Amino acid sequence: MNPSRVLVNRHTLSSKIAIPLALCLLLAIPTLPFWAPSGQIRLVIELSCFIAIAQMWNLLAGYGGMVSVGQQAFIGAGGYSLFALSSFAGLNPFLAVPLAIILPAVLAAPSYLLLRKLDGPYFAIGTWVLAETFRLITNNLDVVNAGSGMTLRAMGSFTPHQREIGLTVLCALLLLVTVGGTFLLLRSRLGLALTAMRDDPVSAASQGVNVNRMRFAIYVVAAMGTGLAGAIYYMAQLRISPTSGFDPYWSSICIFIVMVGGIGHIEGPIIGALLYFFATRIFGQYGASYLVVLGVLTMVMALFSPTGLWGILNRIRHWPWFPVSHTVVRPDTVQH
Amino acid sequence: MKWIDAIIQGLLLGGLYAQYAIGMSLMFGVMRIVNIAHGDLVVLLALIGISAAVAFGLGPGFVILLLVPVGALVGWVLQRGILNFVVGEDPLPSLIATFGLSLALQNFMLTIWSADTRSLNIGPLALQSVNVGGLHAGVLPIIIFAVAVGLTALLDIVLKSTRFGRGLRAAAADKDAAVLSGVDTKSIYAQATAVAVAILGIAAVFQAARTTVSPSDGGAQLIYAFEAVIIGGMGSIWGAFAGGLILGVAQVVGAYVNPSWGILIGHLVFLLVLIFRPQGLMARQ
Amino acid sequence: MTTTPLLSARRLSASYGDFQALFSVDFDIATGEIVALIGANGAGKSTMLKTFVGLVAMRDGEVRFDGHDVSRMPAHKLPANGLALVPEGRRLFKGMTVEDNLRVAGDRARAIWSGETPWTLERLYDLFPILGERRNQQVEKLSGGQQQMVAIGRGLMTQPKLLLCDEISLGLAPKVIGEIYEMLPIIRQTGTAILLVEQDVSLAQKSSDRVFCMLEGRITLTGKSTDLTREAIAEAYFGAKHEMD
Repeated sequence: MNPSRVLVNRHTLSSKIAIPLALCLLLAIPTLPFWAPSGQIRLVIELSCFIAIAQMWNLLAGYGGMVSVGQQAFIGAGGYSLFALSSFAGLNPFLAVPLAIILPAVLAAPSYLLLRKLDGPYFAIGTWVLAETFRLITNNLDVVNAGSGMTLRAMGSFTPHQREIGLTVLCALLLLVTVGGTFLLLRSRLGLALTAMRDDPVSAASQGVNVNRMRFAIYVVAAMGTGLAGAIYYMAQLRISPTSGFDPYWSSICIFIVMVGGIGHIEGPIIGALLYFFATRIFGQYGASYLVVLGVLTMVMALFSPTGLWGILNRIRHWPWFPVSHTVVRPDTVQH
Repeated sequence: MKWIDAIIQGLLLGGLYAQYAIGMSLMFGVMRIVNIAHGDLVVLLALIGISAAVAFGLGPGFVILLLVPVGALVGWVLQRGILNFVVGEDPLPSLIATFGLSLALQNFMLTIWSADTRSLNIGPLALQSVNVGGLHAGVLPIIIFAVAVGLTALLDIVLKSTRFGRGLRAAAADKDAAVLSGVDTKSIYAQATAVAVAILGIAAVFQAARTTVSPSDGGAQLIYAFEAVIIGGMGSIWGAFAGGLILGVAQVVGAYVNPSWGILIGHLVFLLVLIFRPQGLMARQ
Repeated sequence: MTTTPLLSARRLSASYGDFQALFSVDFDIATGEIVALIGANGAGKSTMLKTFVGLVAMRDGEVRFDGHDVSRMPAHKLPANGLALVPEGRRLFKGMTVEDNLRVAGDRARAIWSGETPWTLERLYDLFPILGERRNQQVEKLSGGQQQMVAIGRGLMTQPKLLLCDEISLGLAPKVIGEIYEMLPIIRQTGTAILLVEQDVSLAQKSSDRVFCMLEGRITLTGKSTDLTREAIAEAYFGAKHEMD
């Protein structure tokens, strides 16, 4: 077979449909304030934040091989950054949101260097201890109101409609950066290195992949993405407190979404987030019983189908929305 | 004198943390599994113990006698029913499975026992104290400490000198070779988890006796167990014991300095150990 | 002899995933025999041993040991039935002492009948005196040859009727190999049959009663060690007629 007559396919039919569709949906989000009821807008904002946070957890665990049960550390850090920048530096909160990734990044770097000395499962609990440490420090910090939490007063200078526009634009950008960014990353040469590292770190290292540096980078990037989502989430809430911002339940959400949706693929967390979202809307009223079911589902998935719902769907039909692999085809077999 | 009082209280509290930690150290050392529901199991056993004590008018001694076999059974079922499927190289499935279990267990306890805090009534024992040369110590904490020493020593002897202990260490060193020597790994792992959770049954009684218990306490207990194991050094039962003591001292002395800092100081000591001696204080390096 | 063999395998096939390693192999060994299994790397020798003890799954065929069908027996029950494997690469329990390594196996040994003299720690230390001297040392500290002795001792502590030895000479100096192979007849005298997987053909021939040769997952030659010629073995080993000059 003459090499120059070989094609490399990066897209499939399914992705040629899915990606433009996704972009349309993304562009539609900032239009919501003009035609959708406020209640639904709030739901979309919440869902966007869940998807973003889950994608970051997926990047950490599915590609970096680092399971974290402490991402709430960065949700709280991002949220409090925003509130602090707005209250103390007088910044316009909408402009302050992108700056809210700084503190999570600054915290993440030394955190990783510390935590990487711990073995797999102990690494996970270590991330939780870190989150608890942040929570306790914040709880004792009078400058941010300690346990009572902070309010985003600056939002009062905007009308509800203006707030909605700002938030929906930020959500669209959030999804673009986290989902889109992950997609582009995984399709790049860096992404190839990441996948190699995920599959076999030792072999990857022997091929020149700097595993340590990569893990460090992933940890910090995931912290930034998570912090960004946290800032937007709490901006919509208008209030933040140590108990809510650093709530371990955030980790339960991440883990359920990614494990049930499907780890290691971009599509998985999206499916998982939708599932979690609607399930909570419908069954959340049952309180603790519903959470028992969530926990059991997570456990069952981990035991019997670690690749989640998307993994099952993928085995039936390989129709990726966001394909990251290369397929080699001979030109005469390409279908039109 | 106050400082010494605080240190002694810390050591005695550490005895309880040691009881949490030795079971976790056993499970990780043998199976490389960390059970995220570890703390929730303590809470579950404590609540069962309290309910039984109230329903049948049992004293704390009887509650211990009840909870040890109950704990062993729970541990055995946990291993055979869930954890045996996730023993292996990849830590992700066991982490996530036990995480899901933790979430389910906490909320299950909430539905049965509600969020009310409860405690185990141990009568006058709760208030008795001894006075040695100007230093006060509660009788209950002393008992907890003594039991911790006893359990640690017992577990250490079991691991070093019994058929079960040898088989367990062999399975931890090389699973396939252990099978070739006749070790039934599935069964021995279940026995190990049964032992670990039986110990938690004892710890549960002490926790319920010395303070209140509620379904959402599990997370904190897990973190204390974990910090104790890391501070003391992985792979050593006496290390976990020592780590528990150090954590207890850190927390109590921290609270003595500032009442709202106790637990935070514990976390900071843990982080310091991670920075300067990550293999643990009792490790041989 | 028309007595039933101690171990017999019929139409044994085994695979690693998609790769088939054994093709309908027939094999047998009698009580008290020493049989050598030779063949190039990848011929399937280790795989056959691992299939006997259940470490590799059987795809087809049957294995009978001491009168029972053990094809589906869980691997950990075999030592109690008298079948022990000294694994390739020794696989000792690191972090444990010599004595503890031996005791783990001894704890789960076959129940011996009256009239049999069991393998005890003392008997093993008589056979391998250096182990007696180092009984409380951690096994990682021992030399290669000493570790091999521990591995063999661990197999013996289960009171085996058949001891499977997978490449016990690997990585050892010739003098040490000699010392270990001198033990084999002594072990056989106690009634234990031995199956040797061995790379060194002449050593295998000298040390055994019968030889099986394997190539690419099949048995290509079998016969009494004293009867087989160099030419026959070379052909069976490499799979082609060789011009010998």
